[in-house]
Amino acid sequence: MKQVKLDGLYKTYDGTTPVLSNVNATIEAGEFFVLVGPSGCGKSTLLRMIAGLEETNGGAITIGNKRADQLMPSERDLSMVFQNYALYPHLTVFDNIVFGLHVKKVPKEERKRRGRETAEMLGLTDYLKRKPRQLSGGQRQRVALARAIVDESPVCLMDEPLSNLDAKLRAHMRAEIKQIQRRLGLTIIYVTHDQVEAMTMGDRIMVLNKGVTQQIGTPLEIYNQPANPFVATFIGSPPMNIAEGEIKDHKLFIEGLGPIPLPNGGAIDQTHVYAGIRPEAVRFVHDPVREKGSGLIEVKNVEVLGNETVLMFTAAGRDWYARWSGQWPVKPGDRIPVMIDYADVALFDKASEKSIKHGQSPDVAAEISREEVLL
Amino acid sequence: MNSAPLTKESGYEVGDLPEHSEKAFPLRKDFWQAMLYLLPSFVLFSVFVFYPMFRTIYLSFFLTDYDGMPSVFVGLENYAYIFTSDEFLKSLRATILFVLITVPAGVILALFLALIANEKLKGIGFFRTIFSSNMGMSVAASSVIWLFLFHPSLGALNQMLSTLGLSQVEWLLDPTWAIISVSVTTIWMNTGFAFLIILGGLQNIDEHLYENAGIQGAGYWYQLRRITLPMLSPTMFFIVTVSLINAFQTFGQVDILTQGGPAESTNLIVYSIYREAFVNYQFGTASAQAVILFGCILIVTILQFKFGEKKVHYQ
Ligand SMILES: Nc1ncnc2c1ncn2[C@@H]1O[C@H](COP(=O)(O)OP(=O)(O)O)[C@@H](O)[C@H]1O
Ligand SMILES: [Mg+2]
Repeated sequence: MKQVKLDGLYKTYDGTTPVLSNVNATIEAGEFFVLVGPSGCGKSTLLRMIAGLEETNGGAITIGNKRADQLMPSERDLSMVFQNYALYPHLTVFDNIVFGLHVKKVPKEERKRRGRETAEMLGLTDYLKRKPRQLSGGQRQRVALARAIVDESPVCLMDEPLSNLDAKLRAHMRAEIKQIQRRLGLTIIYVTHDQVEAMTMGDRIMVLNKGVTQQIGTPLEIYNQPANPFVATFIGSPPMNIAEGEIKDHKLFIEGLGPIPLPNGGAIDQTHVYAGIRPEAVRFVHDPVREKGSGLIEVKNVEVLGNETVLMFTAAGRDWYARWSGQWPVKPGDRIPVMIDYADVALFDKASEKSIKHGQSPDVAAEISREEVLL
Repeated sequence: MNSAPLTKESGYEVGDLPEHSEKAFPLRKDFWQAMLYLLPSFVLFSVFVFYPMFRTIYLSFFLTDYDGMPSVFVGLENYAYIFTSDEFLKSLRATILFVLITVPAGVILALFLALIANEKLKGIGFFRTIFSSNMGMSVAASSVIWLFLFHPSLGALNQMLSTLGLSQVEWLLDPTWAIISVSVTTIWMNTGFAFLIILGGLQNIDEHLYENAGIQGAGYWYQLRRITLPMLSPTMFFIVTVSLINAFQTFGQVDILTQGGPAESTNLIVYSIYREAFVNYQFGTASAQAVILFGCILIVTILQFKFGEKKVHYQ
């Protein structure tokens, strides 16, 4: 319910190496904003700077309309969920949940009511008298969530809150957190290294690498129009295939694949590029002779997932993936004809790594308008 | 721990155990193996703890000769005697007073030092070292240092008092001051150990608990009361128990500072036992006193576990 504005944030721990440099973002009120990036890229540091647990060495943080970077954590009016939950082991679940209300001297009756309401929302009613150690990982996680939202702070920060849960529970909690956020209209800044969480939960995503912002956008923008090869390979599973390519004679050459012809009028200035192709854009061809841009690949590994099949092969000295829907009777060692449509190819300048051209949205669904779906 | 399944496996599968019965009772070999491991401490405990303990109880029923050999069986007379002896009752009172002064004051001082030394400040390592450094000093050395400090005319304490224009204090010669002086010395000597243990306990507390409390608006004292002290309770329980036992067993500093005087005001029970046995050669009554001391420590420790432990939050 409050906007959070980051302006040219800079952070260094040792005075010389920057951990974060020039981070800019405006997180809208009520937005679910996900900070994603590989481990060690500075996500936690950034979140802790917003919380006031880490000092900022440059730039400004504004929460609501108030300059916040010099305020104490308690004055920033936010709540936080920690990766290890940070529950008080000596307090009961109920006392853990209402800890913040107790600090703020909320009257006992109101404390009780709000504690119970929040516990009910998270399905903790039966566990209120237990100590944290008597709970499962998932239940502890809920207590941590309850403690954060019972305060009714307008901004909630979460640092990898689901990373200690098993895959199934994680998927469940993703949906649950998202629902609570919508219901309460919270502004959430959510840190994760898991691109699936980022894609499924975020209204907008900020991709961070080595302390530098790579891209900010909605999940589909990030997926369809990655700003550079890092974002392209970080988001999506299996990752986007990336290889060095050369543009000659109106064709894109990638080692290990047939030349991919450029369409008429689609000339590119650069010669040396990185070409990125989503696994689903590597398509099987029935007639390799007639189809342009086709080539033979040798399958190195096959994963049949029931509804889709993922093949691994080598091109331009790297592992590439192809993902086809359905169950394909393919075995390692098979040589299979595939083709790549130039329209699906994303191109990045080799020197600057900046995007030259996006691949077209791979799934038809993205092309259908909302109105059509709702009919 | 690991040896149990290993032995079983080799017993069943490789068959390197010749005796058939070994296979049927694989535990038996483990048992003797365990006993073998226990043997050294068992021997040491027997020689230095169990034998002297039973010998003491035995001796407390006898009158003894100068060599400490039992000569006349007197039953409970030794006990009857010491409980009517003014000297022993005075010693018991002095000991209880001494425990009541040194244990709470020592633990609170160590807690205070640990709390300030746990703050993340530049150069705090220096203070941590200083606060725990007296751990490395022997009782004798520390007592001699304090002997100098307490010296009536040359001691630093009295010099300070006179510089401030205050009247001087007979630290070790006045019966009221003497027990306080010995207590101060003891507190100073024990602080290092208690400090180090409590500091360790503090550092074991998850930093995130404080961070969350800070975000939720809890101030220092609130955090101390609702997080630090409850989380520290197992450590405090340990330190209080150990300090209690230590205080009851105080000997060295009494011997060096006051020899139990003046007017027996610092004649703590272990010193009293020592005098009874090795100055008066009354090994029987000395043993009876030792048994009483053992009983006292046992009761206090049991009470401490029974009532103190309820307030402890183990994680
Ligand atoms: N307290 C600290 N002191 C020094 N360096 C730190 C500290 N915390 C984090 N770092 C460094 O800052 C970088 C970013 O860390 P972090 O924000 O924890 O990454 P992430 O949460 O993205 O995994 C890492 O290189 C880490 O080693
Ligand atoms: Mg982190």
